[in-house]
Amino acid sequence: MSGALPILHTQNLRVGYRPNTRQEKTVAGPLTLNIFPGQLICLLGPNGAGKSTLLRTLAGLQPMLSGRVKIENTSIAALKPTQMARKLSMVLTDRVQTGNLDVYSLVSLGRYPYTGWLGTLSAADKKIINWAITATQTQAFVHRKMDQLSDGESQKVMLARALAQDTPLIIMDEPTAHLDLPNRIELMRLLHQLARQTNKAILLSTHELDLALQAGDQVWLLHQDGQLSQGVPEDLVLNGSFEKVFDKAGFNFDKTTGTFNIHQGQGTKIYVTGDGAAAFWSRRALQREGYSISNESQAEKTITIRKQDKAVVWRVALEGRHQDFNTISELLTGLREQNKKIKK
Amino acid sequence: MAVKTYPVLEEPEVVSAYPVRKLVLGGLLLLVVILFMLDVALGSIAIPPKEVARIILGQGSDNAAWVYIIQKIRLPKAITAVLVGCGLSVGGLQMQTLFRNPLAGPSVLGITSGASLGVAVVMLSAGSITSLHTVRELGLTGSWLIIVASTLGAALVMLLIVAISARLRDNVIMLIVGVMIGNITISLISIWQYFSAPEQIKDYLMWTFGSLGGVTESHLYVLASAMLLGLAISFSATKLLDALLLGENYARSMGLTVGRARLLIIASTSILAGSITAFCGPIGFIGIAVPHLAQSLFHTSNHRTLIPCCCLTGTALMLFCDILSQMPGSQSVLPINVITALVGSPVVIWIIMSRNNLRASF
Repeated sequence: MSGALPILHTQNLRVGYRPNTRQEKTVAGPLTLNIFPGQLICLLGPNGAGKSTLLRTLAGLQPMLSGRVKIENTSIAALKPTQMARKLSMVLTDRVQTGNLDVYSLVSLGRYPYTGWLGTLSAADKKIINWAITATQTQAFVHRKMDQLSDGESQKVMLARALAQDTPLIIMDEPTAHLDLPNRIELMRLLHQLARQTNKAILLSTHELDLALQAGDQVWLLHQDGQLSQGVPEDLVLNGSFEKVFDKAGFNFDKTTGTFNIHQGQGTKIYVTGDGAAAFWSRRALQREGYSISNESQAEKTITIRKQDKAVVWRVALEGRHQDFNTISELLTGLREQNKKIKK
Repeated sequence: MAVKTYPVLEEPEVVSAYPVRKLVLGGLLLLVVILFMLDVALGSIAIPPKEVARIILGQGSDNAAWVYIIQKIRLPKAITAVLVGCGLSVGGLQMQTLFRNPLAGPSVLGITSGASLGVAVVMLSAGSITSLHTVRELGLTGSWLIIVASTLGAALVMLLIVAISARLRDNVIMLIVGVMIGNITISLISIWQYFSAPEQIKDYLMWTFGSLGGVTESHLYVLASAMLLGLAISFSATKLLDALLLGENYARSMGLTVGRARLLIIASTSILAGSITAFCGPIGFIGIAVPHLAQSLFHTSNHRTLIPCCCLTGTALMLFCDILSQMPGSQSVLPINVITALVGSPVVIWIIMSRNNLRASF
C-alpha cells in the first residue's frame, strides 16, 4: 500500500480555532498524516481531544491554523467547492430534520456535485445511486421517508448518500454514536468491506475502541495534548499508546484483552486455572468482586475450573481443603463466606 | 484503483406515486379555475354567471357597469389574489428550507414587519406631501418606490435573522427571536406614527388590514413583474434548496457555496414578500401554511415539484380567502388579513398537533 499515492496527505497541519484575529487556540498538531486507498482508519481519542475539529478541517469545512492538506496531490485551498465535493464526501453527526424526504431522493442528493443547475439525474447518475443503495443494503426501505427510519437505518442511508457522491475518500464523524451494538457491528463490518471492495479510503471517528481495534487498518490516536500516534491497532496496543491516551485514575487498559478494566485489582491475589469462556468470565467476576488476578500459582487463593459431565465446576482450594461450586454466583457467595470466617 | 462495478438495481418504483400525484395536480388545477371564476362572479353587486363568463372571455356585455366592475375591479383583484398566493407560498417554502424550521414564514419571522417598516418610511416620512392615496396615484414610479422600500425593509430583517440563526441551533428559540425582531420593527413604526399626521396614520392603518382591491391595473404590471422576478430566482435555486434540506454542513460538503445560496434565497424571498406587502398590506399565515399543505398533498420535498405545487395550493387558498372576505350576498368586505388568519391559524395548529416532534420534522 505504501507504494501507492496517498489520497490525503497533511504536512505540519495545526487545527484549532481563531476566536478573534489575534488569538489562536490550537487543538491538535502539528500533524503529518497519510491516507491510502482502501484503508479504513479509525480516529480515537478522549472527549474534547479535537476529533471533530480535525475531521472538519481535513474536509475543508473549517480553516486550518497552519500547514498543508493535499487531496490526491492538490492542495485543498486550491480546490473549488464542487471539485472538493468530488474528492471527499462526509457523514456528519447532524441529524437530517427533513422528515418528508424519501430515502431515494436523499441518496440522489449525493450526485449534487455532478449534476447541472437544475439537478437532473442522468442514466449514469441513477446507476451509481442504485449501486450505493445496493452496497449499503438499503433497498428494503428506499421508498420510506426519513422520519420512518430507525437510527441504524438512517445511518446506512447517510452512508449510501456519501457513496453516491462517488469520492475516493469518505469522512465519517462518529457514525456509530446512536446505534445499538448489533447495528454498530453491522456498520463497521460494512465499512470494512466497502473499503476493501471499492478501494475507497474511509476515515471515521469513534468511541468504539473494541470495534476500532478489530476493523481499523490504521488507528489514529489523538492525545489530549494534541499529539497523535498512528499505526496498526495491534502495534499501538503493544507499545502502550492506548494506556497513555486514556490514562485516567480509576481504570486501566488491559493489553491482553484489549479492553478497559473499570476495577483496580488491589485486593487479594487469586489464581485461576482453566481455559475457555468460563475462565474468562470467572476472571471478570472476580475482578468486580475486588480480587486481583494473579499469573502465579503461588497466589493466596487458587480456583480450578473443570468440566464435569458437560457442566462446569469451580473448585476453590484453601489451606489444604477444597469446596466445589456450580455457578459463578455460588462461587462468589462461597468466597464471601470464607472471607468472613477468616476475619473471625 | 480497483474497477468499480455497479450492479444494476431495478429502478425504484416511485412511478407508482405518480398517477396519484397527477390526479391531485389535475384536481388542484380544476379547483383553481373554479375558484377564480367564483371570485370574479361573486361580489356586492350580483352579476349573472353567464354574463361574467362572457365578459371574461372578451365578448362584452350590454350592461356597461358590469363590464367595468369585472374588468377594472374584480379581474385585477382576482389576479392579485393569484400573484399573492404564489408569492407568499413560495417565499414561505424558501424560508422553511433555509431556516430548517417548519414554522418559518414571512409573517412569522418579522419579514412582513420589515416590509411594513419600509412602507411606513415612505408613507409617513414624506410629510404631508404623500399619503397612501397619493403614492398609489403616483402610478408606476410611485409604486416602484414603495416596492423597493418594502423589499429593502424585508431584506434587512432577513439578513438580521440569518446572522442570528448562524449562532442559534434551536428552531423554537429562532422563532422567538423572529417574533421579537417583528416587535421591534412594529414599535419603530409606532414611534413614527406618533409623530405623524392623523390622515397619514389612518391611511397606514387601512393598509395594515391588507387588501387585494387596492391594486389597480397599472400596479398589477409592477406587482406581476416583481413576482415573476422573484419566482424565477426561486426556480433557478431549486437545486440549492434541495441541498439545504440536509443542513448547511452537508450542503457545503456536497459542494454548495452556502453564502451565495443564502443571498439568492434571501433576495428572492424579500422581493416576493416585500412587493406583496407593499401593495396588499401584511398578509399573514399563507406563507407558513401553504408549504405544509402542498407537502402533505404531494408527499415530496423536492423543490422542483414543490415550488409549482405551492403556487397552485397558495393560489387556491388565497382565492378562497378572497371569496370569503367579500362575504357573498352582503355589501360589506372584510379585511383579507382577518380571513387568512382565520383560515391559516388552524392549519398551523394542525401542523404542530400532527407532528409530535416539531424540532425534528418539516
